[in-house]
Amino acid sequence: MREARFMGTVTAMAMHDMQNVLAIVRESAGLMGDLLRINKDVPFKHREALERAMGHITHHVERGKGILEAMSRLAHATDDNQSESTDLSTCCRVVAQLTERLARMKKAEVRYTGGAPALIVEAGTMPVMAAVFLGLRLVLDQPGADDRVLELSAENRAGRPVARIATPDLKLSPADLDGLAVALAGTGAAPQQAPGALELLFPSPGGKA
Amino acid sequence: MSDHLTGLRLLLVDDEEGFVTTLAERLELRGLAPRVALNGEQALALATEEPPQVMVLDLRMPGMSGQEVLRAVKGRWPLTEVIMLTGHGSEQDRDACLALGAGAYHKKPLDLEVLMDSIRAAARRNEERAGKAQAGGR
Repeated sequence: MREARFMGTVTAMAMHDMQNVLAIVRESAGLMGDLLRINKDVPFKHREALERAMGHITHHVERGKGILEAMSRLAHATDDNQSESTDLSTCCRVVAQLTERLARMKKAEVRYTGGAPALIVEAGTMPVMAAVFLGLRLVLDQPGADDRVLELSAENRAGRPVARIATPDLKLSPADLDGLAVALAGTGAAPQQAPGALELLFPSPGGKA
Repeated sequence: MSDHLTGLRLLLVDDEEGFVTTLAERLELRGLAPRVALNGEQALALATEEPPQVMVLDLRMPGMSGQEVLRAVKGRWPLTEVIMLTGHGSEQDRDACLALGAGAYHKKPLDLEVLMDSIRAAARRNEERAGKAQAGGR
């Protein structure tokens, strides 16, 4: 745990510094945009290309900001492990953000479609995030159509927190589910196949599974 | 430019020189005349010369931290409105800064128009509080 906290602290510091880097990039691009607007009547052959490039910078700074916020949340998860409960909705949102690239490599997209407010799970943040990630990875590893969408949500089902990963025609084999159950050992999550979805059932508040 | 921003005494405090000088230039293009400090000690020295109405303050800086600067500013110039702008903030930092009297708390990078709105609101609060303080002193 000491190593995990070290990793979390150092990663969080680096992520925070990256926010400063993005802020400088954003302000510099913003200043160029300001100057172009002020001089809008001055002929400049490459104005359109420059404006387009600045649009890209702004768009990708926002994208980077989202990734960094999720990374920072992940890094701080090592602090949260002092506590024995966490919010499943936040964990799902962070994991969806951080698996954007993995999904793209599998020609898929992960969409966090929302979660019940303050959906408390009786487990640490890190194990819960790990469980959601392992579930997502299993679904991403299944054969499927290009550009398929995986909808990740967190639900309160009769008092029991459930992370749901839905994609059309998902069929997991018993071996897949058994393998996932083994991988999830220690996270508190239990996997089950639902029509077109993998569900991870977490211990409900009060410790009753 | 809105009335609240005309002649506003604005102080930007951030140890990221590339960020704070570029931000100052962009605010100048919008008619503001911010002063810049690169650390907390410099900020307090500039505030002693001329207390700012609004301060935009970074949280983590070498030397005095943003929270220490915030506490000092609120102790000596209670009318100064402080906007925290940080790349380092946690929810606990945010709560602590708001409890110490910060009027707003933003994370970098931030859309300039959002910051402008925040400065405008802070300037309005400063004017109102200065007006009340003046009326109470009569």
